[in-house]
Amino acid sequence: MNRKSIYVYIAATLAMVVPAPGRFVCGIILVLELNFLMLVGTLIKSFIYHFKLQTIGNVLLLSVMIAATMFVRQILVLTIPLLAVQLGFVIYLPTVSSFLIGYMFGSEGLSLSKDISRNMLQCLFYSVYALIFFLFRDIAGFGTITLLTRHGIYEKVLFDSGKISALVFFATIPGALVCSAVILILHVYVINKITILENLEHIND
Amino acid sequence: MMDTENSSKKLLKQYGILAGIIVGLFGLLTGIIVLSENKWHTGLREEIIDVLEEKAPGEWIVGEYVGINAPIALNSVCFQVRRKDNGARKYAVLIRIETIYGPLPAVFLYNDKSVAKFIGIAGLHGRVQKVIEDESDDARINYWIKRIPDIVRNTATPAYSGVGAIK
Repeated sequence: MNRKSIYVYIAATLAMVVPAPGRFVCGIILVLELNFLMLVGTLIKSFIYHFKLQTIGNVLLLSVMIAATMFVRQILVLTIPLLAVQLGFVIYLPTVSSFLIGYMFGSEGLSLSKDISRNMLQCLFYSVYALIFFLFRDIAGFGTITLLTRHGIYEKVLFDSGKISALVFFATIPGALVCSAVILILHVYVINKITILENLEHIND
Repeated sequence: MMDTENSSKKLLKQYGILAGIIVGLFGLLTGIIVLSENKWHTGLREEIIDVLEEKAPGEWIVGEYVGINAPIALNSVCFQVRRKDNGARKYAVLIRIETIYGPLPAVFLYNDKSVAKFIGIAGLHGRVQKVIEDESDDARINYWIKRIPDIVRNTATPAYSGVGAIK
């Protein structure tokens, strides 16, 4: 993990993850949305290069991304309207985040398969990071676990609601900021260890 | 001359493609918005019923949807409600409120003879629910308690004039 990607993670976390309610189910929705937008954006970008539509490229890409976000919101209205109300403007944040825009405009000249695998892999790494973040806040902060089911949201209270714990802090927005810093440090630590191990393997070979 | 003509044709073709895609997307979105309108009302009505049943079991009947004529309608819904025992009628408003725990969907009851009353948070249980509901003087909830009358006045039907108002 290089310094640039750490900055991208920080910016993306502040823009997408911190303002969202700290429920795991919200995390699942946002991560699905981010992956969907990344896939749609990458395909549209490839379409633009394939048909040499660079003159209208940016307008076309932005129009499709905005339409895709509205499409996600309406799917949410159709399936879980409560989450559509709760997330509100947060649904639109991934579209304008530096994460999506950065990867969307940063890989010119690559083939479609390479472009998709590169962008989706980055998206997958960030999705894991975001899901850990939401899961921790849901369990420690809210004392619950929320999941998506066929019938809507499943919520299980894990800790007795009568006992108010100091961990409620992690359910708050300031708690989310502290939490994001701690998870980012751990994430960078693990990625760096993996890189060191990979480098050692190369040297041994 | 030929170059200018070719270039114009190429540009015209590109902008034609752009216009076609935008019109297509607009049509698709309009269709899905129309399709989802009914689900928006029925789904959120169920959530209001759940909150009212949890806080006052068997006391309220949730009635017709009331349209809100304001931009806030994107994040809120309003329904007529009637009390089972004395027929007192009110409005139940589900609205997204910003709290220190992030945005949450809150349910309020209101009629024009009384101040709006915070009932609870939809889809939230456990210790955070207890913290929010125990805190009687939350500034954000108080803000919405003051705003609810304005929102209800902007609904498609006029506010109840205190028919069987709740004491």
